[in-house]
Amino acid sequence: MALYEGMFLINNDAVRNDWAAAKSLVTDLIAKHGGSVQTARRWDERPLAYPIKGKHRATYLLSYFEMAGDSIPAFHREMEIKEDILRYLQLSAEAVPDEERDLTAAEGDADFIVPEPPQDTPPPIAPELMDRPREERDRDRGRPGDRPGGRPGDRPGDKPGDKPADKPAEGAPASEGEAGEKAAAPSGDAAASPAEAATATATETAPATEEKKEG
Amino acid sequence: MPMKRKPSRGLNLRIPATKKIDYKDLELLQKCVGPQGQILHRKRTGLSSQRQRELKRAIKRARHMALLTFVGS
Repeated sequence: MALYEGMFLINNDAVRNDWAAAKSLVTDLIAKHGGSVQTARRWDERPLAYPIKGKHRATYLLSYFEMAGDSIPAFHREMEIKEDILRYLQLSAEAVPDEERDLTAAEGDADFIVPEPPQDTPPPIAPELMDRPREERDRDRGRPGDRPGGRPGDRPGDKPGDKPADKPAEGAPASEGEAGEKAAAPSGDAAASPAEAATATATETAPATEEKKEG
Repeated sequence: MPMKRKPSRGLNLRIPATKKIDYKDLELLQKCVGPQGQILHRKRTGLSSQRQRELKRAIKRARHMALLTFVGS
């Protein structure tokens, strides 16, 4: 028989019904497998770092017990089957700490009351992780991108003034049909560089003046 | 001329030599993990290799029992 330290994670629903019954769930199992419980006490009730079997809170039971080595696999197997034992950790121990004996004795007193476990609710999401409006997101902070409003970052040709229809044709426009074709076709060469795009916006009214000259 | 001692950049945890690093000592363990839950290396914790190994085991046991996160804060 060797001495072990065991930490058991117990479902809060079982604890809420009856702490003594929840505790005996573990202690009876140890006794069933030929072990002898030295100490067993409620260590803590706390939120879990990550949900286990859909639970976000659970009660920890800390126990020191003796058990024969060959009965440990069967003990572990039965704990895996028990639904109210969410997780367990069994370590070999050298001796039972004195404070554990004191705390276990204190738990046996009549005036010891197990606090009611709070409702099992998922932890709130941190405000910085909440879905923020697009304007506030980090990646959009520097350059606004291709959004309306004419802010920097727009590609040439995206702004209303950059439409190919408004750009002056090379030389004089031959006919209305040709001008219409040019408006429909994407003018890649005109929007090739930002400088050209800028000149295109600056000379928006250029075709009208040229027409006047012709007339 | 005495050698000038380099200032320690470790956490200066001051764990007593007789005390074992326990997986239930969450106050200590939380100091030894990064913002995303990663175990800090020896240069940061300032521990000996034996102590660092002890710390590693304690953190992994605490993670198994959902006392510490595997990843994330």
